[in-house]
Amino acid sequence: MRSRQARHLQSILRTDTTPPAAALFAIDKVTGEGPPLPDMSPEFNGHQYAIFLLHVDAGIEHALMVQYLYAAYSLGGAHVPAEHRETVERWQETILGIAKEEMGHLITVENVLRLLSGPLNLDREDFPFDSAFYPFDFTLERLTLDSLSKYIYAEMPADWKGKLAEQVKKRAREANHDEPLHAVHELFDLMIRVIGDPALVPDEYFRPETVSQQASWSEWGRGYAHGARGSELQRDQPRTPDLIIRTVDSRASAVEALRAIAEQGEATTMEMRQHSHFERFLAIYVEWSKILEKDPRFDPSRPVVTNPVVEDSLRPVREKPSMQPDLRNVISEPVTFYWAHLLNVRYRLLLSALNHALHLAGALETNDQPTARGDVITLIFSEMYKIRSIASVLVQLPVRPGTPPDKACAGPPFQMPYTLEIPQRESDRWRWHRDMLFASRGILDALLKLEKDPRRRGYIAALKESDADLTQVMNRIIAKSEKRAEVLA
Amino acid sequence: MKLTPKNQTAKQLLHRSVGNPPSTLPDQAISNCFPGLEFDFRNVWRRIFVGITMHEADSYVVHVEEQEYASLLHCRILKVDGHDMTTILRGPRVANGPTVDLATPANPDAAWFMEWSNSISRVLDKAGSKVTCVFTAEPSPIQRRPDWPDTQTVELEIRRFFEPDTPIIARDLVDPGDLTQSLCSPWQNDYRECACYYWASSRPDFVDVEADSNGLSAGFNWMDHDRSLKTPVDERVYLPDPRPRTPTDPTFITYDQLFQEWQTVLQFIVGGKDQGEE
Amino acid sequence: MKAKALKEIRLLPPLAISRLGASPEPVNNYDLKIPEDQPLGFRKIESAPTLIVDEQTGRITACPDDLPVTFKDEQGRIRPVAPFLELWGRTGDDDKWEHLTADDLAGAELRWRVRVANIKVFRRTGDPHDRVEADSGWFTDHARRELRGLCDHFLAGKFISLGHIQFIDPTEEFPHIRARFTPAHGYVYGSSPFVQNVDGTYALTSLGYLQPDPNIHDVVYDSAKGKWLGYDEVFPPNQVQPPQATIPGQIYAGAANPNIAGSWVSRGYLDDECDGTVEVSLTIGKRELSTFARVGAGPPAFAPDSFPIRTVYDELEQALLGPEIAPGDYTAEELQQESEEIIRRAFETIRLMNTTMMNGNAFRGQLDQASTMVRQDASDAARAFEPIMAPTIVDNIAVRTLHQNIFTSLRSGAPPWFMSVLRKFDEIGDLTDLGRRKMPGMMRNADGRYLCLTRRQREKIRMAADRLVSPQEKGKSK
Repeated sequence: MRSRQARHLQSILRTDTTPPAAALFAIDKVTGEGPPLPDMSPEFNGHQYAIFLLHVDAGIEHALMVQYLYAAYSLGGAHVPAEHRETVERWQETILGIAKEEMGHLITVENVLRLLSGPLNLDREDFPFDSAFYPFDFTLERLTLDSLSKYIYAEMPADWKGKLAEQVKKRAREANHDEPLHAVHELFDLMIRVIGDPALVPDEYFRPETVSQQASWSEWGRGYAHGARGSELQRDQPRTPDLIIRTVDSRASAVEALRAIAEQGEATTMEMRQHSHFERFLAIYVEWSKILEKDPRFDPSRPVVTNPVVEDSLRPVREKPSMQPDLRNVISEPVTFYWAHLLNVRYRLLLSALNHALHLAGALETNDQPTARGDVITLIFSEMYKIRSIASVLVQLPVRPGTPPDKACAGPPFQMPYTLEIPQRESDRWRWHRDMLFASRGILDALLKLEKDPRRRGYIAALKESDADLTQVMNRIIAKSEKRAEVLA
Repeated sequence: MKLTPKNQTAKQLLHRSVGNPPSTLPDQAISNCFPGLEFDFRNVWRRIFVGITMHEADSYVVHVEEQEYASLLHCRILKVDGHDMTTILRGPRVANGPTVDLATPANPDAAWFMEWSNSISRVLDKAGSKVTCVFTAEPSPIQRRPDWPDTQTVELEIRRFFEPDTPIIARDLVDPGDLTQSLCSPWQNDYRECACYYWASSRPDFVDVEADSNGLSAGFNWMDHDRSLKTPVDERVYLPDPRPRTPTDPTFITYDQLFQEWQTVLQFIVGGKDQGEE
Repeated sequence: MKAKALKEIRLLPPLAISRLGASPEPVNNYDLKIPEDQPLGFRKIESAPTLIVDEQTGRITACPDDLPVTFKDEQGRIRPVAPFLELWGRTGDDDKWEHLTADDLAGAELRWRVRVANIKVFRRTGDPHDRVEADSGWFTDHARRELRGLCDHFLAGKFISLGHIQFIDPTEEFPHIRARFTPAHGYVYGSSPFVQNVDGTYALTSLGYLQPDPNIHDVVYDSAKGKWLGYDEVFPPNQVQPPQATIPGQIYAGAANPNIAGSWVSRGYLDDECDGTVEVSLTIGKRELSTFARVGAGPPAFAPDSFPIRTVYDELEQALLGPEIAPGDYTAEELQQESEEIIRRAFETIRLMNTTMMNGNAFRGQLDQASTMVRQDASDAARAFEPIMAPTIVDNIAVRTLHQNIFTSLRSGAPPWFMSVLRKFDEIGDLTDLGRRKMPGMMRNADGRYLCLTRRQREKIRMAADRLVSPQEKGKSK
């Protein structure tokens, strides 16, 4: 499927042995001048090209978020020596923080798509991987120096040089099977160039009236902003950057929002440098390397397998569970099987609710009342909490019967749903969400039969009750629209 | 909890005597959110310094018992043992405006006293010994910022909070009547229109709540005369308590009713609705 | 155990709360239980062993555990909550306490004394003759004693009943030593049989008669002696308020004098709430052991199946054990449970609170329709008047659901992750958007700004969060 996108990018993103892309696209000012644009597909006009690039970026932000989450959840375990536990906790907080910021990026990019009247995109790359332009091959894997190197590469600024840079880049390339990697800034430079150029995207395409439909920080930020994140464990560190969720109402604000995202990733300016994803990942790399000098056996991650998947039914699996990056691991332990399906259903509910929220008109800042969008946003946050909980259960569970979790454990599969579309009619959208609650209920009932751990059983009971409450609210909403339909008939 | 004598002592605070319902224990009594209902618990701090009496919710010295501290009368306490007791109010003056110090004519320093309980907990383990306290040099009816330049410094003894090795609030910290003295008189007068809508256990506010057909909550004000579970959910409206004091507004239980027949007009809320109502 | 061996005695609980009500029958005892299959639901009220006291003899006649739990009697009167105070003792150096029986005290003399007071009027007027105080004097018998609140400024022979105390007579079946404190009925008392206007003149009916004051149970206060009737706590607008006044101020029944800006003239009302001490003294030969407990009388818990977020217990625990938690004080599981309990209390509070209103949302298109923190910020700090959270996301169900989901996550064993949004005690001056959106939200603190947890509560959550990496393996801390 990605080849549908990849074909339009081949001329841009070759391999990283070509001259750095930044040299091709780095533009100081958005003037419409500068070096010529790379070959734009003859099938596009400027506006379409902008939308296309935003789609590609949305997919990247989403994919990065999921991979970072996976890596963060892999951290920890009984084997981590006591003296390093705080360090590993801090790393986990840092990476979870970065993942959240990727979510903010994704939402802001959707806002820009909305401003430009383009369709939204919540899709992302999946495994197996078949495209050449993502920063690196999509892989859900535990945090290792190899995987960390790839994250650093993706987020690095164009001018990163030196001994450490060479070391990390080399490691990243090797970890990516010597396939070329890409830094995200390449894409951002191009997006900013295209969207900033009135000759490519004329003023008429910018629709400020869409602001009320865009996601705003006050609805989505939840008090998560400067200085807050991770401040408990990182008390001595200066503030970390804001969660970027920007509404955009003009060309200037769109460009400004994209710049902010780019800076948060790669730190294009000196003052941002300390807090960029790049610098935060790199700090972990350096700290980790130092610990390894003293303790060569140090490993901060659990033995979480790579690319875990669940199939529709349980079957015996012969292959050994693996932490190799290019493999997938079918989950065949029955309890884990249901937890993994539970995660997939909740992830799907999260995505469909996100899609729903971005299609509902919101309200202006003051003087307004709670709306259905508020309900949907709450649903999204609630599902994020659930995914967090289920993921932290999964990393303690075995993948295969007979293989103890301290040898090989599962992780959140994050398998993409067969479709990201949601129904057109409002009541049908609620039915859609409710379907997932019904599916979830079946899984929870199965788990109640199988799960022995009292804490997890407590969680299942709470989740069932919470879903029942939510179903009731959804039933009310659906009933109302049915009444309306009757009246109309 | 680790079995230390002190922890054991703390557990005695929640001792359920045979026959005592849960509402007899201090974990079902409001403490610091506002003056509270069972107690205005802030009164425990009035005599925390030996020799002077503080305001229960402010930095103000209301009384001096020992002559050597006479100069503290009506002054403001700024620091205890090096810790600031006040902070600065900051925020936007206009929506989306810049963050500024929120000074007003009545509070030109934009200073605000931080509640005793959390501030003073830092030094309670020094009970019985003296700590350095910084006050304004002059009496001050207004709050002063923590870095106010014109100060006097005295050593004050921190009074013991508990009787030694017990969980009993010390005899000389609180006299009979002290814990309830700053509550409303009569208490019924605090049941309407105060910023007290969130005293969940003592005073419910939003009752008979269910999801309406928009998926939003619909319910009634606890004080609403006409509330009934028979009202279809979509028709339930929570009416806010009127802003000006209008004691005779017929929509709500009136003050006169609260004084005369609070036992009849106020309903116990169990499971979010009147007890016994289905 | 013999009285001679006693090293220390103690009354438990050390702080007992009673709750007003005019019914002669106190609330039957109950437990609050969270059903296993409904962990997000209301706490269920279940009957618990209730001690039935014969007031005439002072003896316990029965202890049934299946009585219905209602909070009003058949006449519609509220049943008071009347706690028992138990006498416990310790003979060894260890912390092993036992509830003492009559046999344990054979040969010793036990005396009781109760002193309670209501000094609300004194707190306003500053006149010590306005204190209402009751003292039972020392007693040893089992008669039910009325605690008559006396005051220098009361009319001759008048008093306010502040409740009763009864030393329960131990029997063979119920041999333990205990006393019962029963609070007053919850009456309003006054200073004049007729309604007075704010200028001191009497209000008249349409026929020209003096208007009787229907609110008061009895006229006890002599307005010729004291100043309570007509007392005026003037808060001049936009000026410094009298620094001695209560915070918030003007909280007594009254009315504004239109001729004095910011006035609030007292109607001279008093109530029968109180707090004070219950003392015991045990004489064993030449030795005397003594101790005391504190009691208070407040309004009923009108939502008895919910708990407030920050309670008197949290204050006491912090004062006793400190704002910090020492390594190993709690197990990881205990910290997790403490965190769960705080979040449970949060949604129990939300459930009964109109979050849309408290957020400062408009009501029927009009702003500022209720007493909220938004109004508070605007009025005493001149902050911009604007809702705290985005108005679209604060519906009660949405906010409650969100908190229930946080609770659910904690139940999975996931450590708390929301430390950064919990307000610190020294962040109360931060009235920026971000500062106001911290948790607990929309509620008011002892200092009149946004509510904070106690530092110890917050510390418990922080330490629970510290297990981030390895849930099972450690209860360690920093």
